[in-house]
Amino acid sequence: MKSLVIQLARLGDIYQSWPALRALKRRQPAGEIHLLTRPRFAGACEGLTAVDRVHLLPTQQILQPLVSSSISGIEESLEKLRELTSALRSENFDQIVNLSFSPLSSYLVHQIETNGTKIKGYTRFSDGYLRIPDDMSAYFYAQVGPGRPNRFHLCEIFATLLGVDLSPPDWQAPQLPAIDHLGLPGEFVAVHVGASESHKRVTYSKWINILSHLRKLRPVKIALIGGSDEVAIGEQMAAAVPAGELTNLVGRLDLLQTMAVLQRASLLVGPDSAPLHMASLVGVPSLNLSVGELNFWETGPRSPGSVVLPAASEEDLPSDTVADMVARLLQHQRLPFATIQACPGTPSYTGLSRQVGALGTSATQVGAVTDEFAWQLLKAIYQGDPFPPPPDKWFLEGICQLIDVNSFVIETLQAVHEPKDLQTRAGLLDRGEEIIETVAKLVPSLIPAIRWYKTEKVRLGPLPFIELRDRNLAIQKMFQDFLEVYVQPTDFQPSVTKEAP
Amino acid sequence: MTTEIEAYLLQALKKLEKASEEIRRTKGYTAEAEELQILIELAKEQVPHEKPCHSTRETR
Repeated sequence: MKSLVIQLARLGDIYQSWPALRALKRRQPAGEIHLLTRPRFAGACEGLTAVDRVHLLPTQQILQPLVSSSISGIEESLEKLRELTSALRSENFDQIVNLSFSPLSSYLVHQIETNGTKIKGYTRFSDGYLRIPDDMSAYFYAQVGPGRPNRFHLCEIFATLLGVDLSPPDWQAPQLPAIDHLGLPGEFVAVHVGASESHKRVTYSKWINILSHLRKLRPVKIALIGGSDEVAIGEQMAAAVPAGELTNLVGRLDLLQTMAVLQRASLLVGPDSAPLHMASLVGVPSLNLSVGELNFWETGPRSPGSVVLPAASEEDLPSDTVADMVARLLQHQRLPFATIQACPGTPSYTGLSRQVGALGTSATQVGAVTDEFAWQLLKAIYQGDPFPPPPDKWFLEGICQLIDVNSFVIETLQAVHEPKDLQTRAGLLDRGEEIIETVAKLVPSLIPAIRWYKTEKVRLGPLPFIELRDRNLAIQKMFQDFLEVYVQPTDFQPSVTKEAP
Repeated sequence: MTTEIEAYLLQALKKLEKASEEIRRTKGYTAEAEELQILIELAKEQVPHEKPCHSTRETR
């Protein structure tokens, strides 16, 4: 089996693809695995022996003619693009798995696929509409990302797309270079001072405060790591701490050397970024300062003993709390109540702050209840788990509204027998969809279900008229089946009796 | 990215979108139309604040 895996995202996403790629090679040792990635991030493929060949998407070369003043810029750019796509097409891959979930990658897949290529992940139909051929990608489209209720980790999502199960050997360090020349102390904590996106970063002043608090709790040696963009902050931090406490390696290491440093560390402290995922591969626990609009369930650390501290911004991350957590982790002390910790299996984290606890009126507790309900609802819709009891009366009212409008949409569709019937009823059907959208805005707990419904509609391809009508009808009826779960006589009791916020 | 390169890219994006519209209007969604779309997406990724959005499209 010859496979092309497309991973056009950043370093961290490539490292999170390693376990699934290794599992694929383990399952198909005689198979050939090709990986398409970007030149800027190709360094994250070093050491990944599961991949037989790495192809690069030469974005700069492709776009260069366009930024010159040449009139023939578009044609030249197209020629360069065609060099890549025809070379990949000539490989005649048995399967293409798109782990990138982007418009760009979807068009590329469609350009590269040949007759008989099995596709997983986003691609396009012949008319240019997005095509989502598999259920895992449909789930991703509907439910994955910051602010959404998904709790499957990206590593597991990638593995599902590649059709493999992960096991512990899929997370292991590659062959790493010697780093004795760096003069690192015997025991140290690695601190990653940067992040690929500014909203995830912790500032210099916050780091200094954290280290200051840590110094009082438990003197520890620090090794700073980071890329060339972070050299300035590394130098500032090195100048601000007592001599001998800190080894500044920012901007001095390549990716494999960074991984080698992490392998020697007792702990990594840092934001959501590539070193966090490197630490997962080398089995070193991390204290993940998950700052910004992120979903740690999807991209958090995986090494046993890792802890996540989520915060909307670094102002919500007290320096003494971070320092205290570092000290506890180093001393293997009991962690505070409701700490989010990595655990085996799926979901990959446990922490009482994310579970349904005693109900009160604080926004945090309401949020925790809403999150938990949304997750249970996802498992019911996608995995056939039992449906959770409705969270409040607003949910049930929303269900009733949806049943009314969906019944109307079904009746309207059933009256469509030829294209002219659709023309006269299109406005009614559009109105029905608008009402469904409005219910989602008014009743957020229904959003996961409505996204599932809308995604099934997006998955419809170019079809003969009657078949398209019938497929639409089937989706409406499937939606109706879900809605009726909550209005049939059951043992459901509302889990809260408070007013919705 | 320099202001000059950004300006060239934004100009290139306009050219590409115009060319893409023209092909779709005259020939439909052809292989060339799709290739132009790839160039559009590549250019969008390079331009700050020009976020390549999710692939949401109308339902059928």
